[in-house]
Formats: sequence, structure tokens, C-alpha cells
Amino acid sequence: MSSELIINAQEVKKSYNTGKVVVEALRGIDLTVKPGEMVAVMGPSGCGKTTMLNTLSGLDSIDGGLIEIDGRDLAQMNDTERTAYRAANMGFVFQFYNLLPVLSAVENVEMPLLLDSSRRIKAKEARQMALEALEAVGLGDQASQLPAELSGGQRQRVTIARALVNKPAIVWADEPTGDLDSKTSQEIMDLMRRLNRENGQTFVIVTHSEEIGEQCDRVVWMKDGLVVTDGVAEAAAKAIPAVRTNGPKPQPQMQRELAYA
Amino acid sequence: MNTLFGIPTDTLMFILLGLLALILLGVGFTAVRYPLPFRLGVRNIPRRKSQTALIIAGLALSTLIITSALGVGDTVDYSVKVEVYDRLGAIDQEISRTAVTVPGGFSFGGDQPQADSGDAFWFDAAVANDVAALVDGQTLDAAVPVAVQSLPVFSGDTNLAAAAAEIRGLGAVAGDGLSLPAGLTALADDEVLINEALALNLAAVVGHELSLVKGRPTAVTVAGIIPDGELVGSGPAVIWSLARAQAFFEQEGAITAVLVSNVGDAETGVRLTDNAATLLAGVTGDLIVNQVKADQLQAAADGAEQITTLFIVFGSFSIFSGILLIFLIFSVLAAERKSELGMSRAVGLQRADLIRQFISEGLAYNFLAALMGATLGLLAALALAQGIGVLLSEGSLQIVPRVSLRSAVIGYSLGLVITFITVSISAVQISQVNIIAAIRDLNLPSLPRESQWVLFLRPFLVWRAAVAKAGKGNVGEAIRLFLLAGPKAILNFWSGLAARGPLLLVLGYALAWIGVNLAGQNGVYAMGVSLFFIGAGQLLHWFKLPARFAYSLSGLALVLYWTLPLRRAGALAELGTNPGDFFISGIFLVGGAIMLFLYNADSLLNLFAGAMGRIGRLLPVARVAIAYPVMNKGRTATTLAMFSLIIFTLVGTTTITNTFSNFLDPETGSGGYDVLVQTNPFNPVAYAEMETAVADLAAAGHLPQPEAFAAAIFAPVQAQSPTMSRAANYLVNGVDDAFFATQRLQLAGIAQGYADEAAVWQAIQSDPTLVVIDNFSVDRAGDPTASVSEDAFMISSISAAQTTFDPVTIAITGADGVERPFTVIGVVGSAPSFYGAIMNETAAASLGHSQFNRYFLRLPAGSDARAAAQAIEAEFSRAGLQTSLLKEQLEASRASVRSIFFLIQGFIGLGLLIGIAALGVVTIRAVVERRQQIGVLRAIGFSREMVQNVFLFEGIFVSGLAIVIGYGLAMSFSYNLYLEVAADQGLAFLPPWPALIAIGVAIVTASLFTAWLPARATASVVIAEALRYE
Repeated sequence: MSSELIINAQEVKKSYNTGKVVVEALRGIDLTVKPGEMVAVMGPSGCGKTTMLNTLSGLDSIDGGLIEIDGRDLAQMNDTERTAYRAANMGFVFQFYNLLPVLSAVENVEMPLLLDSSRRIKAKEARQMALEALEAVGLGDQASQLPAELSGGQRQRVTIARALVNKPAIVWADEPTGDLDSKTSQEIMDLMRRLNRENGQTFVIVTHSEEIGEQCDRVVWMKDGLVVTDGVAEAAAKAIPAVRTNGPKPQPQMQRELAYA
Repeated sequence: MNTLFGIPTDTLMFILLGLLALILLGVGFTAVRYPLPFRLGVRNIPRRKSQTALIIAGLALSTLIITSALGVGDTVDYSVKVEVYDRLGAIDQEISRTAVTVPGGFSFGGDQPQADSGDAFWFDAAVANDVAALVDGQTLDAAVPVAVQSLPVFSGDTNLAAAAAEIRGLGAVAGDGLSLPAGLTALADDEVLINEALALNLAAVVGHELSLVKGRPTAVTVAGIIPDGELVGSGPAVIWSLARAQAFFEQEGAITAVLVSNVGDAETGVRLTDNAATLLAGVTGDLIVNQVKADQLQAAADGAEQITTLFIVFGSFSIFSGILLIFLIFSVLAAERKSELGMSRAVGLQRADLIRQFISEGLAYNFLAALMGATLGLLAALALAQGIGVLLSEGSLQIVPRVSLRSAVIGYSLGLVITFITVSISAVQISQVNIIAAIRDLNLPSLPRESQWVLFLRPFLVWRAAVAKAGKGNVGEAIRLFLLAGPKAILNFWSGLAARGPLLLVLGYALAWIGVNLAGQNGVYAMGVSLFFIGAGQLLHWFKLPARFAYSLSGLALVLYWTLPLRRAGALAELGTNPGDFFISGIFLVGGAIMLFLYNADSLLNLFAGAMGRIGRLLPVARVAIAYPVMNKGRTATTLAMFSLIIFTLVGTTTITNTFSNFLDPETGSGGYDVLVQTNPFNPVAYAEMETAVADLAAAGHLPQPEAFAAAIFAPVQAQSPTMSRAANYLVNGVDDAFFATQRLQLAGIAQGYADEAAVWQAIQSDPTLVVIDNFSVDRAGDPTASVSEDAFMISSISAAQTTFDPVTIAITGADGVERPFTVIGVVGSAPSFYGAIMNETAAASLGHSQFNRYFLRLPAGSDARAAAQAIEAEFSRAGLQTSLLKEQLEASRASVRSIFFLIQGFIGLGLLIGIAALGVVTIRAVVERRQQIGVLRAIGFSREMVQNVFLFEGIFVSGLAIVIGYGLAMSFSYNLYLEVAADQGLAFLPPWPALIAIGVAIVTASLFTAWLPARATASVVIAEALRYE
């Protein structure tokens, strides 16, 4: 395994049993991501984008395959270890913000710092770092506001601040602009891009938006639980229309060939 | 039971049945006219089984509490009545020289020992002839002259003695309403009949020889044993003819009573009591016509109503909490079905349809719940009544389970009506849902309220529009505007005033004024003051003071008002009180504390989170756990109110009971004596004889050497205080020097001019014109245990609460009929065995009484007082001497009072189930509502245990806060009450800490368990699924 890869997923499978039918959400995906990359995961609804993000980040278990994050196999960790690892190394941005509605902006942002047992950050220090994170996303003067008192764009900025405050190696973003208008979406994307470049953190962004995809380093296109194209944004963008319409059923081999084309 | 809170129960039942019928008609109409909302509502019941069970249990509690309280009253009422019917039979009136005391009710000191009878009870037998002449078969159907005195009776065959058996001489019966016992007229000169009670006492059978001891023994033979009751009496009794009794007691031509029966049987004759009393008054002169049966039945009814009221007042906290639980359950239901309701509205259901839907659903729950509550309530009633019967009468009252149909109907209907009203209000609130907000689960800010001026003008504008419409010929619209829109606009105006303060301010002021000037009731006054405080807070907020400050001020004012002694200072102390005041105090006190908390929750949160943050990784858990209840103010306030109210009642009752039960201090209440020996008036035992006997018994080892031996002359007198219109029966205790030297009575009040208690006793010992009196014969206004007959001796110028007073001169008339002045210089604290005036023996002699007839013994600590008393009784068995264990009796009385309150505490504890259920409802709902947030917490680094701890912590926080509020308020309220009522009487404030700690631990444990069950479910939440959950 190359130490240059921060994410290494091989033949990852995941299905859901609803009691009546078994839905194969991931049918053996392969994905590798280098540190500092900003990767967009795209595809039609129900293709398995969010499931892939959840399994790669350790939020959900897998039925088969291998997932290594920075060389560590998440499946070998127990729930407590995985939770601690997540708290220390990962940040999350969700479509509907998923802030805790009863905590103020700064309290939401400082939460990952208070949870990071490896660093033992004091409450006062955590508060200072959270304020700086809010400052970085342009919300320094909204620190004491509750989420309900903020606009959608502001809430998403708080979510990004929360995701980045403990300087995680990877930020997982699931439709971060899905609930925002185009102007605000671009602002959020600019912000993530800037933070990605400044801090060198890895971003994996699940999105429906081609504009967002085009601004990433790579676009991974999924369909029916498989990765069908994977390449630099521009090349992938060219392949997208064919895949989207009536392209051939993708095969793992084909995906690998497409990778880093 | 005929009345409840003074309202005739029949009236109450018919009103409730009327309301029930209206509700049924309304719901029936809804089912037929609006089948869709009805079906939508009712279909939820079988679909959510566990939820249905919880709702029904919550709703059933109110009915259970009401029904059990009513059932206890019915059972006690009926049991006492059965006992009265058994004892009196067909006898309705008793004509005698003295008032017959009515048994029953709470007893705080055991039996009052009787003074010598002498000739006081006898009167001319000719009266019986006059009464017999009135027996006409219209009002009266029988009259019997009797002569009754108590004597010791001894059985030579079994060697057993009855110290005070009644010797009942029965005369000829006029009329056919009563009949003499069979065999009475055929008795030989040395034969008697005895009743079953005496036969049991002496293990006597027909043919045994008995000795009636009056100075010397008179031998008689048992010719027959007859059942107790009616003419035969219910206590141990020897029965023979009136002529033999008169001869035996040397009272020829005299009797002690005429027993009269009204037309009708044992139960129906009492209805003619008033007519009979009027009839008899014409021939009885200065004799008293005791309406024995009517009075005793009334006492039974009063006692039953008192007990029911007591249980309902204490239960009212639980009922109120039950109502809050219903609100909570329905608000949770509404939150759960928010999007469903929004969709229903979106597809065409009217707001009124949503109300119909929820009311239909609620009423279906109600019918089941009220049925369950009423059934369980009846079972609880029987258990409670059994307990009360045992405790109140120490087993002498046979509890006969009885719940009238009327009580069952009232319990069921009242429970159903209360819950129906609650459900209806909840349904109206739920129907106010905003369609978009409901569908998208948004929390839209509420619209600003219209200005009061607009609200004021709107009715006029509506009416003007109505007139305009009518002018244009649109009569239908004009009528709609006039009849519907107009009144609605008026209602909005008043609700605006209510929400902004002026209405409560004026209402509060008016109630306070009425409380002082018209009703004379402290409860009304205090409610007015409380509403005034709330109105003032609203008004301040209307005038732009931030809500936090305005309502904090209101809350603080309420808490201070109800916990500081100022509340009943000055003239307010004169206002009347009733048991319902406790409920009012609890509601406002807890309400004030919760207001104060909710409007300052942020500061509390920071303080608490800061403290928790110092303990490892607790900070994130504590912060999230506390933030939720602080954010959901309404839900938290409801849960807190439920918990706090019940805890307040439970802790308050426990503390007050413990403090006040010391009112009966066995040491001071007994004068420090263990045994009271009382001689029979017909067989006196002289001082020297008793002293020698005690010394001999001690020397022989039959009793320990007494530490103190004192004597008293206990005698009946007539006494009159300056404020009494005529003299009343009273008693005197002329005590010897040994009594003054050894007594440990405590004086509750001493007259001006005397430095201390010792000075008072010294003065009485040396001056035969000075006395101290008992505290039952002074003004005890405000004391719920005070129950003084209008004919009783009373010094109303001295209050039981006064520690000092101006000396009062009273007139006492002794055996010689001469009135003598005595000056009252002290009031004894609670000491039931020392009822009457205590004076020195010279003073008693001046009243014509010089024979010692009571002896007091103090034994060394740890002695067996009962064995000592039995030894003395055995020594003087033929003299009919009776002993009482003074300290033991007081201990037993205190234990009885404590036990009854323990029973009530258990009853209140039922309400805790409501609080715990509420916590369960809130936690279960929280787990469901926050499923997505649980996913987020897990995603950002909360472990499973930490998420569980968030919910547990939240439960602890809410119940802990309720404990702090409940305990704090109960303590300050109890202490206030103690200062007001008992501090002056030398009592200590004694919270029973072990019991209070146990209650706290039980509440926390139950709360933790209730929160833990749903919290456990969070462990199984799959993060990825929770994040998708909406």
C-alpha cells in the first residue's frame, strides 16, 4: 500500500436488507485518494454516493472489501477506536448543516476539540480556536448566535468551521451546497477550495452540482453502486454525458483504466 | 357521604352526568356528521399500542385519585354509621342532665378520664311519664326510663374483673318501638342479665356468680346473656330492672336518662329527629335532649368528608400533575404527527377537523382510562380505608367496605370531564399548526401580537361592517359578523389584556380585596396577591422591560411571598384558612420557582456546564444534555412542574407531620408521669391506703420503686369566663404538694407579671385563688384539630398561640352551688390527661371536693409501666380502680397521627408515578426527535456511551432540578408554617432527614431508570441511517 494514499478503498461492498428486498448500494467500488486532493463524487440519485462516503469515513460498516485511511484499516478498529479516530482525523459537512440546534455557533464549532481525547485541549483554548475557525469562515461576529438565527449559507459556514477546527486530515462533505442558492453555493465552494489549498487537507465532496465538480481536482462518477469514471475534473467532465446517457455497464477494470487518465 | 367541599354530592353527580351527556352527544354528533376526522382520530389507538397504554395510564391516574378519595370517605362514613346503628338500635334521642359526647374523629390524647359522677346525673323519674305521654305513634314510638352508673364487677368463678361495667336499670317501655330484653321481668332478686361484652370480659356463663362492688360487694347470679346494643348498651353491662337499680344506688324515684325512639326502624327513625326534639323540649325543662343518633351520624358524615377532603387536597397535586401529563402527552403526539397534520391541512382538512380528530382520539382514551382509573380507585379506597380504620380507632372500628354508586359515578365522570377539557384545550392548540411549517418541520417565529388599541377597536369595526352589510341587504353575512366575528373580537381584546397583564393585575387585586373584606379567607387573598404579581410581570414586559427581568421579578415575588413569614403578618393572621390553601400555595410557589428558573436558565446552564467541564470529558456531554431542556422551555417547565409539585407535597407533608407530631410530646404531655391511677367514685381509695399499697408492691418487687408519687382531686364543676353567657361543665384538678414538686408539664402561655413557669407553679401552690387551665379551653382559631362544642368552657380572650397574656378571672361553682372567683395565670401545653383547671388542694376543698381520686406515678427509666399498672389494678381489683399509661397513650396517639400521614404520603406518592412517566415520555420523544442529531454527535466524535450519557444526564438534570425546587420550597414553606403555628409552643423544627434522603434517592433512582431505558436505545442507532433521518 502506497503511503502516499490517504484513502485506499478496494472492492468495497455494502447492501441494505429492508426485510423484503436486499438493496446493493455498493457493488465493489475501488477508490484511492492522495493527501490534499479535493475529490468530487457525482452520480444520479440512489447511485451510492452517500453510502460510499459513509463507509469510507467509518460512519457505516461494510460487507466486503478493504478501506484504509492513512494506512489504517477502519474495519479492524472497534467502535470506540473508530469514533476517537474520526474525532481526531475527520471533519464532516452535511447538506442540511446538521448543527446542534441548542448550541450556539461557537459551541458547535468547539465540540470536536472538546472531544479530541488525544490532544486534551482545555475549554478556554478550545473556545479560542473555535472563534478563530469562525473568523476564518467569515462569521467571527456571529459566534453567539444559535443556528436558527443564521441563514442557510451562514449555517453551512459554521458546519465547515466545525469540520475544520481540529485540522482533520480529511473532510467529508455530503451535498454541502445542496440546500443553498447558486451564489451562496459558490461562496461555500470558494471557501472550501481556499481552506483546502491553505491547509492541504483532503476533501471528498458528494455533489449533484457539475459546477462544484468542475472546481475539484478529480471527479468520481458513480452509477448503480459502482464507480464508472474517475479522473481529473476536466477529463471526467467530458466522459460524464456518455455515462449519464447510455454508456456501457462499467467494469472495475475500466474504472482503473480511467483513473488518473 | 353527602357533601364534598360543602357541595351536596347528589348535586355534584347530576351536574357531572349532565356534562358527561353533553360530551357524549357532542362526540356522537361528530362521529355521524364528520366521520372522516372521527375515523382519523380513532384509528391511531390500535396502531400505537405502547403509546396508547402510556396515555391511558396517565389519564387513569386522575380518576384513580378522585375515586379512591371518594371511596375512602364512603367506607369510613358507612362503617361508622353501621357501628352507630348497631350500638343505638332504634334509640334516637337520650334525655339526660348532661350533654352526651359524640365519639369519632381524630383523637390526639386518648380517652378523657371522667370525673366523679356523684348525684349529678340523677333526675326525677316523673319526667319519663311526661315523655311517655308523648308517645303517639306519629313522631315517637317508644320511651324507656333508665338508670345507668359504672361500677367494678368481679367474677368469683373466673377470677376476672371488669373495672367499669355499666349497671343498667331498665324501666317499663312506653310504646312499641323498643322492647325490653327477654327474661328481664322474670329475674329473681339475686339474678341479673349481662350483655355479651361483659360475658366476654369476664368469661362468664349463665349461672356464674358476679360481685357488683359499691363500697362492699353485692353478689348476683347470671341468669342470661343477651346481645349488645340498643337498651343493653355496647360496652360491658349488667342489666336489671329500674327499680332494683334505684334501690341499689339509693336513688328512689330518680333516673339518669330517658331513651326515646322515633317512629321508623333503626335507620329511618332519625329523619323525625327535629320534630321529636321540638316535641320533647316541651316536657324536659332544663334537661338536655341529646339527639344521639342524628349527632353521631352527622359526626360520621363530617369525619368522612374531612378524610375525603384531606385525600382530595393532597391528591389534587397529583390530579394537577396528571392534567399536565395529558398536555405533555398530547403536545408530544402533535410534535410526532406534525407533518401528518400539515399534510392533512394541505389536502383539505379544516382546523376544526383537526380539533375533532384529536378530541375523538382523546375521548376514546378517556373512556378506557376513566374506567380503569375508577376500578383501581375503588380497590385503592378499600385498602386505604382499611388502613385508616385500624389506625384511627386502633382496631375498634370494623371497616365495612362500601363505595356508593354515586361516588363511583362522580369519580368516573369527574375524571372523564377533567381529561376531556384538558384534551380539548390541547386539541385547539394543536390545530393552530402552520401548514408549511408542519410539513417542512420548521420553527417559524410567532407573529407579533396586535396592539391593544387595535384589539379594542376591532369589535366596533366588526359591528360597523355588520351594519354596513345589513344596509346592503346581505343579512346573512351581517348576522355572521354580529354573532361570530363580534364576540371573537371581544374575546381577543380580553385575551390580549390577559396576556399583557392588566386583567390579572385587576383580578388579583379584586381577589385580594374580596379575601380580606368579604370572604375573610386567606386562600382567596393569597391567590389574589399571586395573580397580581404575575400580572405585574406581564405589564412590565408590555412596557418594554425584557421578558427575562419582568418574569424573573414575578417569579421571585411569588417565591418570596409564599416562603416568607410576612404572608400572614398583622391583620392577615385573622383570616380563615382551609385545606385547599395548601394546594394554592403549592401551585403558585412551584410556578414562581419555575418561572425564575426558565427565564434565567442560560446563566444556570453556564454555571452547571462550567462545573461539569472540570471533570474530564464531561463538558461536551453536560453542555449538550443541559442545552436541550433549556431550549425546550415549555416541555421542561411542564415536566419540572409535575415533578416539583409532587416532591414539594411529599417533602412538605413529611416535614410538617414530623414537626407537628411532636405537638404531643409524651414527656411534657404526661406531666412526666408514667401511670395514672383513677379510683371508682363508689369505691374511693384514700391517699394513705394508696401510698402504702404502692410502697408494699414496690417492696415485694411487683413494681419498681416510683421516682415520684403525686395525687389530685379530680372533680366536676361549673365554670364561666367573662365572655361566656352562662356557666358550662368543666373539671378541676386539685393537686397536692408532691405534684407541684414533681410535675413536668409545660406551660404554653403565662400571665403577665410572672417571670417564668416556675413562678406560676409556685404561685398556684401557695395561693388557692390561682389556676392554670388546659389549652383546649382557649382560643385555637386556625388550628384544624380544634373542635370545641359551643357549650364548652372557653376563655376566648387568650389565644393558644400567645406566650404571655393578661390574667383572666373566671367563676367556678363547686358542689355547694357557690360561685367563687379564680384567676387564670397559665395555660398548659398539650396534655390531654390534664383537661380542666389545675389548682392546689385547698382550692379544690373550697369547692367541696376533698377526696383524692387520681394518683400519678413516675417510674425509673426503662421500667415496665404496663406491668406496674397491672400490679396496682390487681391489688385494688375489687375497688374497680382503673389505670392509664400516660406516656404510652401519647406515644400511641403520635404514632397513629404519623401513620395516617404516612398513608397520605403513600397516596401522594402515586403522583410521583406521573412525574416519572412524564420524564419517560419526554426522554422517549427526545430519542426519536433527535435521531438525526444523535447521528451528528456520533459522526463528530461522541462515543455510544457519551450519547447515552447525554440522555441520562438530561434526566438527572431535570429530576435533580425538580428535587432542588421541590425540596427547597417545601423546606422554606414548612419552616414558615412552623414559625407561624408551632414555634411559639416550644416545638422544634424537625425535618426527618433519613426519610427525606430516602425519598430523594428513590426519586433519582426511578428517574435514572426511566431515562436509561430510552437512552439505551441510542446505542443501536446506525450513524449513517440517523444522518438520513428526518
